[in-house]
Amino acid sequence: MPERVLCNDGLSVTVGGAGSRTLIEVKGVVTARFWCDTTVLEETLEGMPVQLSSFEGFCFIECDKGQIRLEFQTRGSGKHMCRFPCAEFADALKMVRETDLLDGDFLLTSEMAVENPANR
Amino acid sequence: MPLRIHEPVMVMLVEDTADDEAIALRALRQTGLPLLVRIARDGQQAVQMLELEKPPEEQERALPKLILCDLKLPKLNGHEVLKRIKSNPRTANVPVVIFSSSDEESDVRSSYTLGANSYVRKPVAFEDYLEKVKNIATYWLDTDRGEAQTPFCEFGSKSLQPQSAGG
Repeated sequence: MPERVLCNDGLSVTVGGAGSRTLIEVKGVVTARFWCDTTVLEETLEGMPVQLSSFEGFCFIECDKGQIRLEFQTRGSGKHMCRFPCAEFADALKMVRETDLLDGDFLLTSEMAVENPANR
Repeated sequence: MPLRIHEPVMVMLVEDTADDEAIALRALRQTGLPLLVRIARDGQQAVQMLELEKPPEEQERALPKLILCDLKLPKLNGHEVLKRIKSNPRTANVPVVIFSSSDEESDVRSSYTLGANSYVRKPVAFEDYLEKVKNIATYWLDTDRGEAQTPFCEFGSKSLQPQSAGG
């Protein structure tokens, strides 16, 4: 699965995935992973923010004056924030869009399981 | 073993006031559920997210399980958004909770006439507002509670053991 590191300054933010499915991995003291429809993340660039929460914590993504503002907090820890250019986020999402599902090593959902034979 | 991540439940928040948005987001985090909260800051964005202006054959996005909608909104007010949601066969069954500072009977009556599933007056006190949103969201999303009923999304060959909810 191709990945792109967008921020590595105290907080590490990596975007990966394939086609319509994007995985955001945020590493602070603890690592949390969130999956999201690629379209939802593309629309953050049009001014529609999103909050992703999981059992590990939450991640809020908003486009603000040409910068992505990402807030991240894991359960029991303080809130962290990082910024990176919207253009870089857009490029990462484009990379995800252009990745064929079959090119990823694994990408499974409850309804669908696609496996790369190379990993068997 | 593949990486397993709980597939989040989608909630849509339609709110133009920054403070109220922050309270609602905090309350939704406190439910302990894996959620994907999409935020529309005016009525037009809400209509766009739900693809209500597209012909039926082009409406293909996943729908939220719950819509929390403020009544006083720029561009299109909450009643207009509600009317469009409830008059579209695709979105008519999505629960819509109207939040408003207004306790005028006409606003309450109009909301229910247009098909709102709940009408909630925004409490003035921060903690009360937080609790109210949390209770409402937990109530409407309750059927998605629990690991057995929450679908998974799996990525890559790494493994992730979900921690218990709460905190």
